[in-house]
Amino acid sequence: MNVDVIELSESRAQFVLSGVSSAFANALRRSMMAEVPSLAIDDVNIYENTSVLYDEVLALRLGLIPLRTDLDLYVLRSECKCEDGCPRCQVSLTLSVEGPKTVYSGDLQSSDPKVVPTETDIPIVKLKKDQKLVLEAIARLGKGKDHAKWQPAVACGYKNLPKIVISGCDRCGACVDVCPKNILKLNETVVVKDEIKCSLCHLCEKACESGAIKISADPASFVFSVEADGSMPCMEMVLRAADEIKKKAKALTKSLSGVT
Amino acid sequence: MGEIKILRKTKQELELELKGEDHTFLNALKSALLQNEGVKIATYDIEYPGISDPVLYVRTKDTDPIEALKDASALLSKQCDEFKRKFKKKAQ
Repeated sequence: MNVDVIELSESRAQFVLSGVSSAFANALRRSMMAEVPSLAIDDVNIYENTSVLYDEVLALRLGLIPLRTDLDLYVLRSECKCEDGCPRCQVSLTLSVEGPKTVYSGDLQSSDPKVVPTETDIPIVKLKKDQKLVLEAIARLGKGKDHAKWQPAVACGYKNLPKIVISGCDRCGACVDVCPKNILKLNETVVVKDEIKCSLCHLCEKACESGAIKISADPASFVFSVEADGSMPCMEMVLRAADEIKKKAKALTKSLSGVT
Repeated sequence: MGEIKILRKTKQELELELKGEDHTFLNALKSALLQNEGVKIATYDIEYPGISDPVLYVRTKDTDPIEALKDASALLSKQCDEFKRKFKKKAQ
């Protein structure tokens, strides 16, 4: 197994994972989206809403606001030992505003200063004069597989690592023109500028009359492109994804040891 | 997580229901099982997608299928550790 990190920032990561099965790569991808927990508003107590949006519409919008999540500080509701909710499994955010103004995610006041919306300029609702909004929103940990609001990964996918081989090129340049990613260049022969950006569309192969260009994909190497929604650093999301798979494997081993 | 129910067990065969799981774990587990030379057949079925629990079927040549499954689980766990280690290292 080999990992090569091409790009890594708080919100984006691009890396090449090789020497694994497609099943493992897919498990990682699925885990990033559906199994890594994050915080999101789950219950809203509305005390006053004279806005143009219905209560439930507001609640939906509030739920979809990404919240900064520190996974070491909170536990899933199902795993919490408390009766009815406690500071370990839930956070309270309040909103108390009056028009005329546009209510933004930044207007939410949190009981935990570490749990705040990742962006402050997400518009929630527009209020006219005398329209009021007074509510308390309870945020809990959850998984993307239960509701998209809890999905920490936004654009999460992979492709097989492309391999481009050119030999016997007659410099016609047809492939350079047809490439939708513009990764080919005509020098003494056609050369590849950026092999990893190849989308494996094979248009260059079809355009080449002499069969000089050959596109193939390594079946055991995967180029991952991952974007996080800001709830946690991208690197943490990727690592937690592997953790969640490991947790399942460990849980199965434990259940099996009780069998024989 | 990890709740199982053995539906059928013979010397070489195992039919196991894994509650609450989906392709995320099952497909990776199946792939790990098939890397074992002693495993003849490894596959899983989800009768009603999104509703029913998946059922894993394992058939071995002459070893205990439960042992093969334990090995596959351990292999997956190791792979996850290796990935985390290598990713963290390259992220510096």
